Amino acid sequence: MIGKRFLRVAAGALLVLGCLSACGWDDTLREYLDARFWQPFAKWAESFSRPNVKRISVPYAGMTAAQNDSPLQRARTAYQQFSGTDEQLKAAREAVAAAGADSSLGVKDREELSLVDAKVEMRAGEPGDREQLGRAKSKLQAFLRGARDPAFASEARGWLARVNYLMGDQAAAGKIYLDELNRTGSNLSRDTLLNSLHIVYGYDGGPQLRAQLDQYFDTPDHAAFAIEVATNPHWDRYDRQMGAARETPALYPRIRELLDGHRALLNSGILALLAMRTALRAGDPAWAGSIASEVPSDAPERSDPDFNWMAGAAAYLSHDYAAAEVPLLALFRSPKASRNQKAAAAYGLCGVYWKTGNVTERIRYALWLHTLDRKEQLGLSYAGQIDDYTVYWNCSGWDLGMLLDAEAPIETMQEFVEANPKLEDIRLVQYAVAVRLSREDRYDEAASIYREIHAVVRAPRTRRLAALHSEANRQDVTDTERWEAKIRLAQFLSDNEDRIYYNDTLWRGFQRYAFQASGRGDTTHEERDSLAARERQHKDEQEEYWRAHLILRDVVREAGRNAIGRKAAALEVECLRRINTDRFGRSDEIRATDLEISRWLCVAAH
Amino acid sequence: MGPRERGQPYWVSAYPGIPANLPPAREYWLVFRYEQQGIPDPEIAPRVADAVADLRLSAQRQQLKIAGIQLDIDCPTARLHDYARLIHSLREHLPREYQISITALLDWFREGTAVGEVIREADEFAPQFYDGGGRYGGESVIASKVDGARWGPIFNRFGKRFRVGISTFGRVHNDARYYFGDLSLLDVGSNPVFQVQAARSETNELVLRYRAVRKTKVGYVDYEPGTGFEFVLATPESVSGAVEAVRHMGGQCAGVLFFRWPAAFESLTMLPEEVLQSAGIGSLAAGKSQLLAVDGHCATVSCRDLYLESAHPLAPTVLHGRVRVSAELDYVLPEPKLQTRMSGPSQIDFTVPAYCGRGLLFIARAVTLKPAEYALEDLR
Repeated sequence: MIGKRFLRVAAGALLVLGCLSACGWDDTLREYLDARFWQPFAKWAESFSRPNVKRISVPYAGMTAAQNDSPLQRARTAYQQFSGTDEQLKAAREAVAAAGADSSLGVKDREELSLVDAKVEMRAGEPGDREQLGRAKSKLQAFLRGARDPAFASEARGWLARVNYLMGDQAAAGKIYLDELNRTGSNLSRDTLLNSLHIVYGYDGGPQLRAQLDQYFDTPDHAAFAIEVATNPHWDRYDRQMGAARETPALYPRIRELLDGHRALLNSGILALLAMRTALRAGDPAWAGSIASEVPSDAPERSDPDFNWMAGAAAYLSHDYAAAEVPLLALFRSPKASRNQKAAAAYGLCGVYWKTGNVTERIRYALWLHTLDRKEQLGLSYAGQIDDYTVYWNCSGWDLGMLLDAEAPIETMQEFVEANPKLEDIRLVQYAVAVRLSREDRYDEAASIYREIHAVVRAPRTRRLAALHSEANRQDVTDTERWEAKIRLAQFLSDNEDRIYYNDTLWRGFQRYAFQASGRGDTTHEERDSLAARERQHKDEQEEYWRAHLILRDVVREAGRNAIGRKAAALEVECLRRINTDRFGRSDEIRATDLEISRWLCVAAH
Repeated sequence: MGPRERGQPYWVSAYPGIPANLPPAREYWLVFRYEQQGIPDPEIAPRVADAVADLRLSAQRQQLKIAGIQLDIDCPTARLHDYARLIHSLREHLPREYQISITALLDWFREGTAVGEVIREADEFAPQFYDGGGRYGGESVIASKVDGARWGPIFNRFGKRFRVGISTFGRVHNDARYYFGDLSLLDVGSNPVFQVQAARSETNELVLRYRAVRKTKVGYVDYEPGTGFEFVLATPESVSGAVEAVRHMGGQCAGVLFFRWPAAFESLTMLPEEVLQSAGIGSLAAGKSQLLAVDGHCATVSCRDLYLESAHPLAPTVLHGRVRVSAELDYVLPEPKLQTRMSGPSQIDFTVPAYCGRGLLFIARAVTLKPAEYALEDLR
């Protein structure tokens, strides 16, 4: 699946911001609107490693420590000392020949010597030196035909794979490594084999895998490996020069042909999974959905994390958002699903509920992702190429931020809190409710929540604000007294920039970059207009200087050219000038208002 | 490659290994450029060989045929003898089948230099007909005149294969001769405050001088009236003239080497198609502008990023274009520099300022509710 799309981790930024965030700099928001988020999960060699394979670990041929001086031991020593020079090669060959002439050698010793002989030839060969490597290959193949010792045989297969790799034969090398990975009794460690497979195939096997795909259809495991690796998703930015070579459009029809032609080799479940993967990579979600629907309801594949992810993706990309919910929920709840797969499902569900308007469930899964990130610091585990990590981790937290700070109705959030009082990180929702209530001038309610959740700074501040607001709206006082109270209220707001209406638990200081509804072009026109309007409203509601300006404007209008009016106007100008219009917007309007009030003040002063 | 100082690497790779998506070619050369004056330490030879070994393996994996390495070292003429020794040392460390090519400065070919020693050690040389006065020397122009009748006999006397280096790139600097790496023609040409004057160099490069008529800002920098920028650009005529001159060199001349391949979205370097067309090679749809509608990967709507590849990259007048869409547009996100606008339910208009059509020009992101086809209706 897709990659952490716009994750931009900059080491420098990470150092600076490390104290602010578990993640590095990440400016992602609503990534479920990007089709690449819904690509199949990336597969690595680890994905094909079966659990609990019993291995052995005995010294390789020629590597046992010296015990006595014998021709075999001298051959071992010469092999161990061989570092590539012609003289050492000559010495090793001579030592091997001398040991071979030793009639006292037992069967196992002779077997070891034979493998050492092949290894000397292998180490004499450089990459691409087909003649020398060919000699080594012949010796290894001959050895394997007669090998009795399972440890030596396993080792020899490993070297044969390496020789194949050095000779440029990816398929021959990779298939041996893959078999050895899951072979009981292998003398090659799991790490060694995973590293080797990684070196041979990289991320997607490259052009050689695509060219040799048919060679893998000799066993079901080989075929599944080849198709899954060849269809690993990519996060490509468009490059005119590279465009044509970047992906081979012919790849997917060819895979389909191969799958069709080898129905007898693969069981129907594996075939369905591979076909769904291919369909999604080919940009044909309808085909993927159709394959998914044909899998019987009691088939074991129905509980496979890959199946559920791809079924959900197919439905979402086909714009059947409601239908994506069931498989994604199944994936999220599956005991077979890894942490990353659950994270993918949770974020996918956020996308489903964004489209279906189910705010409550969006809160649930966005909050779950927040908790996961907080506990496991997923962003810090990001390193290397974007393709290395194909699960989106929602590091920015902006989806949850937008949801709690602007999108979710207060009543829905309150109901969520009531229904889930023990949920981890529920305090975040409670705090957000309090902030939102403050923006609606419901300061008493907000203060109560702050006190309940032990927000020890905001609680008394909001309580004070409640009193000021109440004073400013009393009807049983004179106009002058009310205007004075309003000025005190505005002054209090102005003295508490970002400390009343701004939610300081959500944005990690980067909220301004989340306001990009109009810049992405991945929504419908109506959605875009709605997002833009909500963002504008959000900015207005959370800017203390702006809110103070609105209060003071009314005072100036009502009071007119007198001392109170001038006092309010002076404070209003001050508030307007303190607004950061780069972040807030309305720069023309603010400039014009500033000029207007300034002129008014000049006239009023005379 | 660079001079090694304590703790510093010998070189920095432009790419981590061989790029995965090279354009198809019969053969490839691994280029090692020395970014400093002088020549590298002789001890660099085994290091280069190590790097070559890694790249060789990577190339084998990608089934690429590597012909050899090319050294791009602007060696001072007085040190050519040392350069010859360096090449000799390098060869001992390289795979036997790898050839060594070198770029060569024209100054090396004057009388009394050791250029012969250098060329003797190499398998081919590539005299470069650009940046004769240094990369950012006193002159604005980039290309040097290729005189086949004069240079042919000089190069041929070495009896070694050579290819002639021809420039296809451009540069821009301001009045303080600060060279910009990221300033496009469109950044300046779309600003109505600038007036442009065009001229041609001796080699037919286009020289565009932009002058501000009132105070303006480009990026974060203010420009006063009368100040501005100078762009120097390779043209089809500069390339075709050079290629034609090379054709007359004969002998050991194996062809030309165009410098250089443009980076993505670069606007000052000719696109490969334009270069080939200028050189009279290739079967391109000559004279036809192309619209590229690239999938924007939107999951719930259909979005395309629209790019223009103009057939008139250096047109001296403003060009007006129109894109016709097969479905109703939901909306577009326009490129302001091209004055892009949705001029009808299924129609997008844009304007390319004079001389600003080189490279891949982003027009807009177009959003429809259903997949749609996009066609360039006209550009004139």
